[in-house]
Amino acid sequence: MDSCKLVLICEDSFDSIMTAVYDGWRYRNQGRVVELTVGQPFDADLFSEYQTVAADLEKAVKVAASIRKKISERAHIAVYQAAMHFAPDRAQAIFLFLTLAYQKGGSIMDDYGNPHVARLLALSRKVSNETHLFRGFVRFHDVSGVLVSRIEPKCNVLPLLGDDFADRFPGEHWAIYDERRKLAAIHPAGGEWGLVSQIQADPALSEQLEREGDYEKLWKTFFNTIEIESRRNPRCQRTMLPNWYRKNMTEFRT
Amino acid sequence: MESEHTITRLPKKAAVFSHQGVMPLEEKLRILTDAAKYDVACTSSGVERRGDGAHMGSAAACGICHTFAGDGRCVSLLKILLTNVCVFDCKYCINRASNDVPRAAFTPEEVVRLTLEFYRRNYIEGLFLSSGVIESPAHTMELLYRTLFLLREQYHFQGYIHVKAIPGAPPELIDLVGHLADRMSVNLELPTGEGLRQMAPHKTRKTILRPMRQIQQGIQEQRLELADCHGRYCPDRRADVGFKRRFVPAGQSTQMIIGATPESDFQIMKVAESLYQGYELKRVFYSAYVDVNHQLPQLTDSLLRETGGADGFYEKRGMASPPLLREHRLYQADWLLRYYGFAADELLSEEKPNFNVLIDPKCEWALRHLEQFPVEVNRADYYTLLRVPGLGVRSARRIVAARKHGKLEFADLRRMGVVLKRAQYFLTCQGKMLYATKIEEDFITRQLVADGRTELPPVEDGITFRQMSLFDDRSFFAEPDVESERSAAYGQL
Repeated sequence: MDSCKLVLICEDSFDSIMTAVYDGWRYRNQGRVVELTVGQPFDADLFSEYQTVAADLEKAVKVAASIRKKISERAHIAVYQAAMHFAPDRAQAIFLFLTLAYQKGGSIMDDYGNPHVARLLALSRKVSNETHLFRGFVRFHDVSGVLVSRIEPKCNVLPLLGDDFADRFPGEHWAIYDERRKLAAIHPAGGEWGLVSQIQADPALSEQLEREGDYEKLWKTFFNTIEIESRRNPRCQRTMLPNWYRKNMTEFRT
Repeated sequence: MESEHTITRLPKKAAVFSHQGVMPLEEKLRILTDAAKYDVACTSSGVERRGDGAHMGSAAACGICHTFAGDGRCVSLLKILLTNVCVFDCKYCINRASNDVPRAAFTPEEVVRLTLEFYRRNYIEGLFLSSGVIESPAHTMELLYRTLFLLREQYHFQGYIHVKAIPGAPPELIDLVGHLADRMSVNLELPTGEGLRQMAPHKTRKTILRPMRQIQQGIQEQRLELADCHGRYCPDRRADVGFKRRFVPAGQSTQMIIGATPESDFQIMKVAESLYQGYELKRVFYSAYVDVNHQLPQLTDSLLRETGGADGFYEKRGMASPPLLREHRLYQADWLLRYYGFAADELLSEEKPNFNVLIDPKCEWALRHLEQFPVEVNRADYYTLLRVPGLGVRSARRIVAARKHGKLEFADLRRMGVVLKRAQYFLTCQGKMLYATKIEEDFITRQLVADGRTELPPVEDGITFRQMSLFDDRSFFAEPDVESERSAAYGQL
C-alpha cells in the first residue's frame, strides 16, 4: 500500500486544514504522494488510501507558527484567507503552496507567475474582496437594543469581519449570523467578540429582521432618492452589487 | 460678505420656517437628498482611523461602499444638504433661488440623529454635508460647524465626515470646521472663470479659490508642525502643538461640471492638472451636466454667441442628455495624471483638444507613440510598463516583482492576472509578441476598436445619451474599465 496515493480528508476549519498539512508533510517526507481534501470526496478512487484527519490544536499551532517564522506574516494571512474559501481544492492548494514556500522562503510571495502561488493568491484575494464588501453590505437591525444582522456569504468571512465591527461599534451589543454556516459573531457591549458555531436561529428572528422601523423607512427613502434618473444604469449597479448580496439588505426589501 | 450686494431676495425662506416642526423628517430627507444627489463625490477614503475603544466609529483608508444606487454610483456617505434654501441663482443648479421647488431645512440635531442611527445600522460610512446658502455664507458655515461640533464633541462620532466649504465664509469658521472634518471640498463648479460668470452670476473664481488655498495652507502648515527634524510625519507631536484633531486629514477635493459650457477636454485637463499641482487636491471630480433647469437651448445660444461660437459644439455632442462617455474619458485621463505619470500636454494639445470616443486616452497616446513600442516585459522599468495600454498599477507592480524569480512568458502574465486584450499589441516576452501582429497604427486601432465593440453590453432601457455619433452609436456605451470598477468598488470614484 505504501506506493499508492494518500488522501487526507479534513474538516472545514483552519485548524483541521493545518493539522492535515502537518500530517501530510510527514507522510510526504516518507516518500508518499499526498493529497488534501476538505469533506468527503464524491469520487473516491480505488487505488488511493483515504484517511480522515481530526483537528489537533497543537499541530495546527505548530504549522501556523512555522509559516510565520520560515515564510512570512503575509503568507500566513494569505493561507488563513485561502482556508476560508469554499473551493473544494483549498486544502490541496494550501499544501502545494506551503511545500514550495518552505523551500523558497518569504520571497515566494512575489513569484506571481508560479501556478501554486497564483492559485493560493487567487483564493485569498477572493476571500479578502468578499470580506471587504461585507464590511459595507452588512445591515444591522435594532432588536430591542441589540444590533442583529444576517448574512449569507459565499466565503467564510465572519472570522475576518469581527475585528472591524468590534473596532467600529465597541459600545454596542451586536451579533452577525452567517445562515449558511450556522455561525455567529457575537459582541457584548464593551467586551470582546467571539465566534459561536452550530447556532440554531430562533424562527422569530426572520420576522424581527423584516420588521420595518422608522430608520429602515428613512434609509429606503434616502436610497431611492439618491439615484439620478437620467443616469439610470441597472447593469452597472448589478456589476458593483450582484443580486445575491441583496437578499439581506434593507434597501432591497420590498 | 462680498456677495451680499448681489442678493436680491430670500426665496421661500418664510415657507421653510413655517414648515419647521410640521414637515415630517421623512419628507425633509426626501427633499434634501434629492437636492444633494447631483454632487458627485461620495468617497470615504483617504484616512485610516481605528476606533477609540469607547465611542462609535472608525475610518478605512481605502473607503467602503455600503450600497450602490440604481445609477450604479457607490453610496458610502449620507449625502444630504443642510438646507436647499439658497440665495444664489446658479443656472445649472436645481436649488437656484429662482426655481420653484419645495424647500426644507434640517436642524443640526436632526442631521446628527440621522447620521448616528444610519451609522449604527451600518448603512453608511459617515456624513457628506453640503448646503445651499441660507441668509449668508457665514451663517451657513456656522450651521455646518454646529452640526459637526455636535457629532464630534458631544457624541464623539469617529466615522468619516466630508463637508463643503462655502465660498465667502469667514476663514476662522473654515479653520474650525477643518479640524472636525476628514475631507473638505470647495466646488470649482465650471472649468473656467468665463463659464462661471455665465452660469453662476453670484460666484467668482476668486471666492472659490480663496478657501481652497486656505485649506491647502492649513494642511501644509500642519505637515510642518507635525514633522520631526527629518521632515517625516510624526503624530506624537500632536500634543505639543496643541490640537486634538488633524486638519482635513483626508485632503480636499473639488468638482466641475462638464458639458454645460464649451470648454475642450484639453482645457479641462489643464485645469485639473494645475489643481493637483498648485492646490494639492486629492481628487478632482467631473460631473456630466444634467440639464435640470432646461437651460440648454438658451445657454447654448447665449454662450456660443458670447464665446464667438464653437462650430456646432453641442450639435456634434448631441446634448440631449448627460455626456456620460465624455465624463468617463475625463476620469480615465485623470487617473493617468495622478497615478501613471502622464502630463496633460502629452495626452492632448491645442490641435487635438478632445479625447477619442472609441478608444481610451492611454491607448490613444500609445497609438501616437508607436515608436516607443513594443516594450519588453522582462526588461522595461516600472514607469515604462505603466504606459502600456491595458497594464495598470497592480499589473506593473506584479511584473516587476515576479520577474526577479525568472524570465516571464505570456502564460505567466495570464496567471498573474494581467489582462492581455489591449496589452498584447504593445508587449514582448523574451523578444516575442503573443501573436504575430504588426506594430502599425491602423491595424492596432482597428483591433482595439473591434475588441471594444464585441464586448460592449446591450443598451439598457432609458439610456439614451449620445455624443459625437460617428458610427452606430449603440456601441459607444461607456462601460467602466477595470480601474474605474476597482475604484468604484473601493469607494474612490
